[in-house]
Amino acid sequence: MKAIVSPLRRLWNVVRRSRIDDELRQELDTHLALIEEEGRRAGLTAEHARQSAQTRFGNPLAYRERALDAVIATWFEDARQDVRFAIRQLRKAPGFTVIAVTGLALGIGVNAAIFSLLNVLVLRPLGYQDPDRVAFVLGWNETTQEMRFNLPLADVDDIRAQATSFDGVAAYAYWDANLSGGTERPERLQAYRVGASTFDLLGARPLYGRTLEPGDGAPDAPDAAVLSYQLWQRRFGADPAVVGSAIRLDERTYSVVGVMPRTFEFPVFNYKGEVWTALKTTPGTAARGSPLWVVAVARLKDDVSYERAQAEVRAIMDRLAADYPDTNRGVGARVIEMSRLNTDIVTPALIVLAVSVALILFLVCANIANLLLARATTRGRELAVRAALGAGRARIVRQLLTESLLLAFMGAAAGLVAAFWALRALRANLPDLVRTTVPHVFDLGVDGSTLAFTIGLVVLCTVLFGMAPALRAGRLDLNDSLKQGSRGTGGPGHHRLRAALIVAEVAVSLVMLVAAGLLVRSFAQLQQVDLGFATGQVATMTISLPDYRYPDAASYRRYVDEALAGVRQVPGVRSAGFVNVLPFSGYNGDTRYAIDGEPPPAPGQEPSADYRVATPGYFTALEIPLHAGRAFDSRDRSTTALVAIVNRALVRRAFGDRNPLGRRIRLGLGDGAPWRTIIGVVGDVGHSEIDERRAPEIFLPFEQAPQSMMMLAASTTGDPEALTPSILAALAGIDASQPVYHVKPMSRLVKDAMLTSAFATSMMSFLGLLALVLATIGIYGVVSYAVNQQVPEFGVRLALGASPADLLRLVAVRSLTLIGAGVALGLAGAAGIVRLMRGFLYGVTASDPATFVAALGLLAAVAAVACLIPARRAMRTDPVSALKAE
Amino acid sequence: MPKHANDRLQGTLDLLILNVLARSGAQHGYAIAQRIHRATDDSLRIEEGSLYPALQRMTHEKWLRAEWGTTDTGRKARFYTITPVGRRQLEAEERRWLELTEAVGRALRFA
Repeated sequence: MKAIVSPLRRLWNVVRRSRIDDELRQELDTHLALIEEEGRRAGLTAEHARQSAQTRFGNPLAYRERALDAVIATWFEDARQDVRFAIRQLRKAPGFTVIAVTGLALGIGVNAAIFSLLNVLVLRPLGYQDPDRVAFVLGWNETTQEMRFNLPLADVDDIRAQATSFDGVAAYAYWDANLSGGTERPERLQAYRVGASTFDLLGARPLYGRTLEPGDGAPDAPDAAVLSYQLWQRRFGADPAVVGSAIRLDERTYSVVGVMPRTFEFPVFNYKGEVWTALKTTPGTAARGSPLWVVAVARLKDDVSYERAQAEVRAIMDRLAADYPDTNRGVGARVIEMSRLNTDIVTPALIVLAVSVALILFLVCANIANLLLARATTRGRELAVRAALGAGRARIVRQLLTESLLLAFMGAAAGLVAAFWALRALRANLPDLVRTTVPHVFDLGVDGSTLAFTIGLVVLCTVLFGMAPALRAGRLDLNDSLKQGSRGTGGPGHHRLRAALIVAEVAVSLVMLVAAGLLVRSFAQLQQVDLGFATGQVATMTISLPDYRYPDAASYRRYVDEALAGVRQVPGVRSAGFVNVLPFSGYNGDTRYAIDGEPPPAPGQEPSADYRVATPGYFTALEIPLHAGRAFDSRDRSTTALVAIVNRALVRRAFGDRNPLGRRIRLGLGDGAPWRTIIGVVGDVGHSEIDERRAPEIFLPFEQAPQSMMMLAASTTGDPEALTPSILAALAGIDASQPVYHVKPMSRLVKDAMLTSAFATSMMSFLGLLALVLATIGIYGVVSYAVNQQVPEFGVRLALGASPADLLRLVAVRSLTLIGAGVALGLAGAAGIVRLMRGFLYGVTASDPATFVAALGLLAAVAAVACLIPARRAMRTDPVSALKAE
Repeated sequence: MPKHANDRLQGTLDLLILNVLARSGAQHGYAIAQRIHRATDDSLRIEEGSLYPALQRMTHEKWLRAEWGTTDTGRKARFYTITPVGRRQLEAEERRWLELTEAVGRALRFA
């Protein structure tokens, strides 16, 4: 005890002027004065009396401290006793403890996990200095009023020179870099060439070495590269000595000058980036009309509002459009706070999840409160004895709260362990799209803030399920409890509280079942959607031919021809073809078009369609049906007549019922582009969302529109993943230095596109079933407790001539009334949560009657069973033994 | 409370204080000490250093109630009274004390 007391005494010394201490001092002063008075009465002089009193009295300070120690020691002793006693009590009721801790572990675990998710995705600020001042200046198409992201470099230079709203404006451009060298196979990196002031503007510091500096952007400066933490870990063995070494990017040598910390996130709305090099501008690239378009980031001055910055940028862009109509007509810009981009995306689904897990925790707490209330009444005698032995009301309340706190802590500990494993599994299985674009996603896990949140939950839970039973026990009537037998006391208050708990549990679980049901139905509908192509046995991968090895169209054609020939020879490959953009690859591109013989659309109103370039074999490999005409074949050469294939959606829009074959189509704006003859019509395919409307597409033969980035689709006779190594080997045989990436079976691409809804569906189904189980346990517990309490009453009723069926009716009517009230409340609540979900349902209306009926039916059936089992026990009451027990 | 059961000396001081307060009305610390002195013909001298910690502890245990008041000579002092819980405690301590002394007495007579 001493070891605990002395540091605490030091703490007390700090707050020496506390009330207890003041009072003690005064009390001791009085004592001293009284001794003095006695001395004077005995005839001593005043001085003598004081001296003698002080001698007799000793050191008052020491007394005071000993008295304080006594107070603290008892407090500690009480607390230790409470905990020891609580442990003993919980061990005496292992069934109750296991149920309560398991429930709490689930409830707290899911809350901690969802909190971590929310924290990473929404709450955590970007890791920049004053992140709310960091903005994107993004290109805006004034004609179509659409975001176009990039801006011409020259415009960014003008904004930097003219705008007064910013402390700095930096530009960067995306770049697919081929990392080669060493013995490892070549790899395609997400690289950015960045304006040299970018890192300074963000206020980002490196982990090792330095970031890029203004000097690195000079035309004659040595090429410098900064690595991302992830690349450094993956490819360079996390060796700090990499700083100063040389790497090869696109066959140029760069010296590594720094490594960024793990928490650094490059400004993103698409790729996070793995390597950064300096953007070296030349008079050519910086000139107006140059093809170099960039993304601009800016730091707003402290006293400048986003509205003002936006107004200023708009004025500059309007001036540029007026001065340089050839290059700048329709080019606008938007200033957007960077952290806004993330929060906009994820909110509604996460709100539903967060509400659901909070409801689960509420259900768990309601059940435990229920069990505790039942225990408190059967423990009435024990508590009464303690009260009779001198334990005050506050002491008993404290004792019971200690038990609850202990339960909550054990539950939280188990829940955190579960959340830790669940988040680890989630982190390991993130799809590429999430991993490479969502900021902070590697930080998903149980961290400090999750821990703090969990401790908050422990306190909340303790209050939620521990307070009512504890306060009730504190109000216990001593005589009553001691008089009554071990059956304990109920009392009307208890019944009302229990009834309220049943109603709330039924309501909450109905809400969650409806939400889960809607998601399940929606997900099932998504699975049924015909995507228009085969997703089963198709291997896919992407190549991006670098211009330093493949400088022209002829070299693209050569590579693609050889690659197709090589892949088609791999045993097990049935057919293979390249396309510029595969469905569900995450990429897309579109083009304006005009039809020969149709009235020209008004300027700015030209229709657009998705732009595709395909080789022969592509439609076969994906089993996209040919509805009319022919597919591309070896007749379509660069030297033969220009042709195109369109899909049915385009035919519907452009031709209606008329035959499109033989008609001519022109891509792009203006009269310069050549006419192409439509030779075939193919089926529509889903492209980026399962549930989107099928978009019009125009396909050109690769021979007539070669490009450097192409995606391969190869249908296989067996498991496409088993064939992947052979296909990669065939490609390496053509050019070993050429990276191949996005290597995935088609089925994975589609699955990844459904990931959000699969995740939400499985999560909500899990939570909905959990809610149902919890509500069932709750109803069963309450009803069976009530039946036990009423056994003597039933005995009397039976003795007075009631039939067992009457008893059954008595119990059933009472519990079914409560369940009915819960259902009514739940339907009202479901209407609320369903409104939140409208946006992410497919193929079902938010008020889908089937879902409501199914949820109601399931709940009603389970609830009825939960109260009929105890009700049947009531029916079997033996009147003789029931009355004897009294 | 059981935790003091082994601590005979402390138990004895508690017993004496409870006893004094059970037989009189509200008393301040000095008066309690004086009454114990007088009752034992000065053979038991209560250390002030033990008295006040004991009073603190017993108040905390709800055996005593403390209230501020004024002495005959007009000084501010804390007056202690015994609570019902304290009376039960007194009974228990008294019984234990009698059992102990009886046991010790028997041991002395027959050993």
